[in-house]
Amino acid sequence: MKNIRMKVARIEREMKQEDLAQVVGVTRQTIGLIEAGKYNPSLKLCIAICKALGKTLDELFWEEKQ
Amino acid sequence: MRDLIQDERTVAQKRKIGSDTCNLLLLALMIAILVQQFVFNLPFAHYAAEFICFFGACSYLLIRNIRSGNDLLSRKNTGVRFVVLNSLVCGLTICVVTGIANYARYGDNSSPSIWLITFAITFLCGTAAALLGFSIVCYVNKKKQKTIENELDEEEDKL
Repeated sequence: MKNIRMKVARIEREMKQEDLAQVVGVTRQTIGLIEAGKYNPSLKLCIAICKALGKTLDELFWEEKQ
Repeated sequence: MRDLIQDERTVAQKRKIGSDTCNLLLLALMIAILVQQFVFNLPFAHYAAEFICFFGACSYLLIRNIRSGNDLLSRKNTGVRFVVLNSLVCGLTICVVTGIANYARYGDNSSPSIWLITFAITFLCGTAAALLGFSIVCYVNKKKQKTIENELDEEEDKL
């Protein structure tokens, strides 16, 4: 499932995928795969992304039941 | 109690053990080839299986990494610098290894000037061959990275 919230949070911060990748220390491809829902990041990477985007884990990664 | 087969920690640990085993095996194959070739001075037919396995495994690693989109060039050492540095190191290694082996075999029969010329030719040929190999790897890797960049750009522009 695509992670639209992460993409929106990144754009709100006026960051490109490359910028976020550099801040958290991964490749741009990894950020692209997380946003596309094709890669499950580790908790460590999730926390780094949340810190970089100024959001909580819940706000970016928690899936509410439909 | 839940099924523990899918325990991600043990799965990751098993993969790490498998990866380490593969690395050790590659190292052992390389040592076996070098020892048979230079110490025991055996003909190629004696270590052909190890040779094919070693270079086959190395090629597989290289191709799988490039196809998966893993950038083989670090951000610091990109392009020309990576190719030239690695080629020089390879050329020097080939020159030293073959130089020592040849000197041990035929050291008494030739003059120092002949040896120097031989070392220089070996170094140049080794460096040129490595330069060609690394240039191809670098080109293919860059092409794949460019394709990924374009795909990511398209994906990013969609929103």
